[in-house]
Amino acid sequence: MPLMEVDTSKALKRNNATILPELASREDESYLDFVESLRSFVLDGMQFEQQLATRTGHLEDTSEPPAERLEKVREIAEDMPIARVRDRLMRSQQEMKWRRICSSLDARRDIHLGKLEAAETRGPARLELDPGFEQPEYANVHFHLQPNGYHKDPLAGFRYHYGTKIFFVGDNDKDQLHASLVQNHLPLPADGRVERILDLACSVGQSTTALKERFPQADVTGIDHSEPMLRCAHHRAVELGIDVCFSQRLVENTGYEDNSFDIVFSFILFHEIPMRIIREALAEVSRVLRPGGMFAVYDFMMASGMTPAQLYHRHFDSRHNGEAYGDDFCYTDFDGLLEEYGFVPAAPGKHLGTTQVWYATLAQ
Amino acid sequence: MTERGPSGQTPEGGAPLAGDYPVYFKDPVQDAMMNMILELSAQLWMSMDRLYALEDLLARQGVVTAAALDGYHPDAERVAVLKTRRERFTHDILRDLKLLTEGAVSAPTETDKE
Ligand SMILES: C[S@@+](CC[C@H](N)C(=O)[O-])C[C@H]1O[C@@H](n2cnc3c(N)ncnc32)[C@H](O)[C@@H]1O
Repeated sequence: MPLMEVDTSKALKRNNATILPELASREDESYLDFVESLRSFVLDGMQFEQQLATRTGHLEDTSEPPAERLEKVREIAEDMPIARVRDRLMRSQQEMKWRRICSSLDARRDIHLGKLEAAETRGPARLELDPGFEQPEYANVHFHLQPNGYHKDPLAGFRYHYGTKIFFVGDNDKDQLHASLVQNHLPLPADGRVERILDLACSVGQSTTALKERFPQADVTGIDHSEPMLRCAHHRAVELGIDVCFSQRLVENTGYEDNSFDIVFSFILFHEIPMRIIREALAEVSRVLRPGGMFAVYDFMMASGMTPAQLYHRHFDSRHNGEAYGDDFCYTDFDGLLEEYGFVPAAPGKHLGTTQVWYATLAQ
Repeated sequence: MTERGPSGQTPEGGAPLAGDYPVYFKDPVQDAMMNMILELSAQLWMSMDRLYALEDLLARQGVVTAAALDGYHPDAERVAVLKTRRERFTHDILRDLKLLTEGAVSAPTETDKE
């Protein structure tokens, strides 16, 4: 089950090459290389999905409600020792990953903090932090088991960046996946006008800079609630010499003017916010996107279309990998929600591996 | 929120989260064993990687021969360094057993019970 199936051969010019956070030693790198291989084994090499599939073929029919299919899949998996091993390994590789990333970055904490601080007065990228910012309660979750979550450690951005290197099993070491989404899977608004772009929940800004490279004349802003993420994003963009803006704001309350963006881009945000915030965020996007603008959403696929093995993984991931709100998103009807908030399809949606894509716009 | 992962319900609904030390096998010792094997493998890979690098560098610079390696004896200072390293190695591999004796492992999770 590839996480994201995209053609990376036509990715952007390599100016956007990632700067992976520097670990303290070669030993840490090789430990984490092992963890990456372990993850690849769990996802692919051990062939859990194939084994499960031989016993759940009758549950492939997606006309049955996904929650009911899931219950039956779990009953079957219960009798399969390999399912327990798979769950154990999946959990362990995450724990090993974070332990090592955190201890390695902490070993040179002052140096990393110094890098972030030094970048703050440099351009061309800009950083807008809000000193009075209040972190929402619902964000106090250790998504993917990252210690202290996205915002409670000053090095959370570096931790996250190295963590996702392993999550994507090496396929995004040079931001190829972000670059490919932006380059190959982002249609323009019908009138072709692209002057302002908003990257929702930008984390360390890998899509934000990719967007600027594709649309050099446009004004590109990435927003996130997490100060450590934004500082890391800013540091990275400064190092790359890319002129984008990072701003501390909530996706459900951006504070931007009505109709102010031509493109709103959202990569794997919606599965990490509770249903109430999904709704508020859609209302907010429908306000700040201009009529005819492009709202592109790349996120977990809907449960209704999942194979039995994907349903099994989703259940595990939500409970054992800190994706607390993953089910809120996957078990809803996102097309229906888009429609409810006034969006109409702008282009046919698609699946890239287990990533589902929606292109929506607002009537003129 | 602590440095450790929360268990139970999030501040706003969502799926109930497994705690810090979920158990996947019938017997928590099996979970610990599996973790030890994984840690051991990681540590082993780390030293293999290091050895390969070392061999490569030494050979490229023509510094050390296989015979010299076989005849190697660390001095006292070096012995102390190795001891510290070995202790971390041992701790990393056996850490799950320590958790068992500390009673930190949670009761079987829902996956285990059903
Ligand atoms: C999985 S990451 C998104 C990945 C990112 N788009 C990328 O390309 O790497 C989720 C991000 O959403 C942010 N976030 C979550 N809820 C938010 C909210 N209500 N407003 C702004 N940012 C939010 C988190 O801080 C985190 O950086």
